[in-house]
Amino acid sequence: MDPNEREQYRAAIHGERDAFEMIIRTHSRALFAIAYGILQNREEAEDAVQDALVKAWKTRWRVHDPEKFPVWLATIARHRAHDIFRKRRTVPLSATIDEAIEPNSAAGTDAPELDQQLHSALAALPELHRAALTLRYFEEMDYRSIENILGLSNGALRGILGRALASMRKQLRPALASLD
Amino acid sequence: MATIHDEIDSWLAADIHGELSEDERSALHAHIVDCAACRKAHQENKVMNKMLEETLAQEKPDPAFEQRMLSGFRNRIPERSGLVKLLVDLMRLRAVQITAVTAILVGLVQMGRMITGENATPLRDRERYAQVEVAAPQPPESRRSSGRSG
Repeated sequence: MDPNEREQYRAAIHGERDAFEMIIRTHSRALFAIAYGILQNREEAEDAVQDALVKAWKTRWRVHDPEKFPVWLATIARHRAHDIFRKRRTVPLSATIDEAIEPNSAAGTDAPELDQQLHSALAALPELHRAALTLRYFEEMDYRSIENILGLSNGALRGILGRALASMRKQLRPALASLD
Repeated sequence: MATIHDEIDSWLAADIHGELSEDERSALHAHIVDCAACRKAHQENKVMNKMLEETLAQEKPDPAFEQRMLSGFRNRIPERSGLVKLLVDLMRLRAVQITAVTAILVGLVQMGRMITGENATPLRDRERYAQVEVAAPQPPESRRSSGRSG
């Protein structure tokens, strides 16, 4: 980890508000990508990030190693997104997935069917796979940055992204064939 | 040892994401030329990568997102006033922390003395007094009786 980055995390843990606010600026998009991967709803993902940042500030003293701060922050965002997901999960999963893709389909009544299929395929992936994919495609993060924020090794991340794309490829094969 | 073919999914993902080294990419592409199934998967991955880029780009947060997060944070956690902030900042200093803990301990000891009524006699003096009492041979009554007999 870059020494400046480490110092920023250390300062934030020690309650320096400016350092924490800088972390909000630099990390909130990645946190959004993680939360969106779980919720597939922009408003809810934004709420999850906001709640996670407040919780992180209030409990920052729990982090002893500054290098673990980004993973810790991402974990809080994931847990908060899960809480929101569980609260709305009073209907069967299939209905939840339909609901999750609703904002996109509502954006335009003639939204392509392919987009819906893609969102459904994404929703069917395990949570960690979705988080890795959204970090990659929302933020165009390189593997090293994704490993740092999700606390994964390079081999694990390669495996996760490989399996995620393979799973989506299988689900979308007819559509892909028509596009090819 | 696993071959490229065995782990083709992770190789293909790393390839479209530009995460393979030059040697790895050469090895993968050499395999793709020979293996029809992997070639097909590679082609499908490229199409899907494009789809994901285009579709998920629409879901990205808007440019004001960070500012919104920051404003929300400031609203929910207002900054402390000058004096409280100064005290909190001071309490972060190790020397101030040690002084504060020492002051609390001294205070507790004093309070304990007030409650028990014990004075601040040093332990060494207390031991000396105890020795003097032990050394005294007879209680006052026996001394009196021995005086009468003598």
